[in-house]
Amino acid sequence: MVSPAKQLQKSSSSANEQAEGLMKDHRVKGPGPRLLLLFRKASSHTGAPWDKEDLLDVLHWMRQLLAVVAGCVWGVLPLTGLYAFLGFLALCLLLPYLWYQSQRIDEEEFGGHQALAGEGLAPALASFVLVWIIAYTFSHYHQW
Amino acid sequence: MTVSDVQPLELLQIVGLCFAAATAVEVLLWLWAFRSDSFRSLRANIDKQARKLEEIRAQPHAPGPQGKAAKQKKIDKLDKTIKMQMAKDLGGVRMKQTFLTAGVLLVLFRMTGKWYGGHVVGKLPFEPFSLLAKLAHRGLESPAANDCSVAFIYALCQAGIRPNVAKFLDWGLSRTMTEMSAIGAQDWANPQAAGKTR
Repeated sequence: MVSPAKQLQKSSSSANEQAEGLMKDHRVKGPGPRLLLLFRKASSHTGAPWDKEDLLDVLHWMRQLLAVVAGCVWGVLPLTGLYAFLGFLALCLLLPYLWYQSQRIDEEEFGGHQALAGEGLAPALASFVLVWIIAYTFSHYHQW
Repeated sequence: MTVSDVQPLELLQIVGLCFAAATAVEVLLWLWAFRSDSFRSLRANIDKQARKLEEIRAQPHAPGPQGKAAKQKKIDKLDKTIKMQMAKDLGGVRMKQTFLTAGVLLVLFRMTGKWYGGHVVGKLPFEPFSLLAKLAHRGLESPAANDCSVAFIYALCQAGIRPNVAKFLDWGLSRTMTEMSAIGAQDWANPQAAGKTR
């Protein structure tokens, strides 16, 4: 019985052989957790090329981090109402955009601005509202 | 509404419960499906093949219309191989995932509803409208505009925490697999159109 994985390998082996010579691997490698490596690469300005998976992951976690930080700030200040939410939405689209512009990333290689703007946006919005509510409730409706 | 009527500590309890449930679902799925050798090799292989597909797409084709057609044929062949493989081998995993996730979420929703139902667990920094207001005031008696019920927090946790836990652990379906199967589903539904466009 041939395993499914082997079958797949076999059936596409001709395509593999032809593609093998052109594989360029830009994935982050090294010791330590992958997230840390990703953020280290993201904060450097070496202009090293990005792998698609890595880039999308960085954008995802960047947005989540932004959501938590902004949620705390918005809640404690407090910034309230629809405009505060829209402000975060704008920030969540703008900051990652500015980052990948500063890294000189060609968005066409990765599916255009739309694909990069959508990565991790929905969970980030939900996390933001959650943290916003928690921070707001604790700083204004809780007696310590 | 006075300050003492709001119960912020319950807010943290609910978030903690949702986080624990999301982690539990992932651990159970890992035990049940994701740790098997067949799934892991399938995942590694699909990712590898998809990477190759991207590479071929990015290459310039040989000169002339024949070169273009040859490249397209190569792409189609590899694409079809991957999709057929996924359609064949991912069904069981997907079923387990749906089944377990739905079960745990339902139990969690019932439990949190029972324990925290009718409590004002938080205050919203905005005034919800129409559908959102219904959710935010679910089960509250005479709610103020910015009162928040357990149902709203539960929904936010499901949308915000669960995908992040799954992504952080990264045991299940990879991004490539999700993407490929989403496109695959359309192709199977409409094979003629798919053949023309790709």
